[in-house]
Amino acid sequence: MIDPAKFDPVAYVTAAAPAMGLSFTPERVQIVAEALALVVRIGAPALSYKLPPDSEPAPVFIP
Amino acid sequence: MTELHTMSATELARLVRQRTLSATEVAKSALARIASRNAEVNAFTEVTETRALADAAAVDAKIARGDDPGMLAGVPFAAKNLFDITGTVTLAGSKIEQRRAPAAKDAFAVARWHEAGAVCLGALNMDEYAYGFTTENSHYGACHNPHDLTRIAGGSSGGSGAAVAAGLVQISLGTDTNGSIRVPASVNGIFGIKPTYGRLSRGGSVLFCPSLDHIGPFARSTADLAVAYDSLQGDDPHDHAQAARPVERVLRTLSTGIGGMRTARLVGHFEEHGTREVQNAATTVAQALGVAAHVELPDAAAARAAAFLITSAEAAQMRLPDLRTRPDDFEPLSRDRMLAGAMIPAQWLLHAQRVRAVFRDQAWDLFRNWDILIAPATPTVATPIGQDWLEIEGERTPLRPSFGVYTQPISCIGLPVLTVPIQNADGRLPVGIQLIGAPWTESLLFRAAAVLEEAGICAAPVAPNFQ
Repeated sequence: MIDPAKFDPVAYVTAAAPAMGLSFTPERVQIVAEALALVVRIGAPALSYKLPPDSEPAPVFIP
Repeated sequence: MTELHTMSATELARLVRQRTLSATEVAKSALARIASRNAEVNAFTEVTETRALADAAAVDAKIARGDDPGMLAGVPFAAKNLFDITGTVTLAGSKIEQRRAPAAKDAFAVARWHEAGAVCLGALNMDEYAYGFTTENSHYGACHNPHDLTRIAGGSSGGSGAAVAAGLVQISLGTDTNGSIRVPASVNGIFGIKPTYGRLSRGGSVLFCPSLDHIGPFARSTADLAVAYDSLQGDDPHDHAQAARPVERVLRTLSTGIGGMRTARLVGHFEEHGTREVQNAATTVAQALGVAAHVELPDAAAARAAAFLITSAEAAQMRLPDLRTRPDDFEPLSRDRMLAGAMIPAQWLLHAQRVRAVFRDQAWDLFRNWDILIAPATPTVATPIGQDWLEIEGERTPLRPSFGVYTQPISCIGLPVLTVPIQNADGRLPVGIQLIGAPWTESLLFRAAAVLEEAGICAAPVAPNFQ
């Protein structure tokens, strides 16, 4: 799903923050980007996992 | 007579019920002990003295009238400060929640213990919004491990673990999203149960990551844990994640042994990343339970990663309004992880939720052949407060997110886990081992834990410096 070598967390955080209603100073962009890079690193075994095409997401809404 | 603080909950309740002790005497003794020893561990963030004395007087009055005071009559308890306690502000370890009005009523779990006769002594320290494994809370101070005050008490329910291990209370309430009951149980050397997802109501607690949040009790013996757990069961129409299950009590079958139970040791992911002492402790438990095989959950690392992504995204979404307007009021140790979580795209989150479902099916396949799986709870014994990195067998990882390496794959799919303590695992400090069951099989886990306790393999006395 994601190629860590091509993923640029600074560029991504800069672009995505306004969409989340967040406003960061340039210093904070760097800090959040570092934290996101760690998320990508720890999340990599899931993000690179090949899913069976018919698998559903875990939570099921029960009315 | 044994000092009250080292007595078990079941023994205290028995003495109160037969009028050898009054609940008021017990409450006053516990309050005095908190006043003299809590500062060393910083487990309590609020002591509810007036309520405790009133609750105790009510128990004594019930007994005087000849009414049943409940299975936990007069037993001192406290709750992680994300549970509502009538009249106190529910902080969830944060500065931000100080603005809340005091709780108008008890959380469901607090009310259940109150109904069972237990006496609430206060609220306990935790990682802010339950986001952490170390309870190094910058707003309320770090919680210290009773076995070594320079070390962490684990998290996020660190106060809940330390209060029980230090003999400040007999039982406590915590929550577990990725390991927050199992990690403190492990490093404080006590028993803790994270039940099946949906078993116990979370009503009246501050949610951290709703699709993964569980609640559960801590105690110093399997019998105490069983009574505490049984008392928490019951239907709460206000928690929509609670499953429609009958109350399935564990106390009555606690001593029935493990005859016919099929037990295996989890290896692969669960024997990597940890110290030799921790693996030796798991071996000790495995041998005592007559483990017949070593088995793997091949996608455990992917499941752990999925839990990490889901937690990051959900936790941030729950706090997004405050992250937008007052980010500097968040805990510095988790604020930037929280902000990064707000950046996670929906595709990553949904992918992680599908990994979770696939892994659930993988675990179900394993439970066709096995009843209990054994794995360490933490990669190491308690680490020094302030330590940022974990180095084990040449692998260097950031400490705070790494403490859940063995617990996260399991809570990711909501399996019940009872953590049992092995004292002196490294010659001095304790560590916990997870007994993992198929969904809704808590009673089997309690029976196995009782066998380990009876054999003298697992025990949870008050920490030596606090006896």
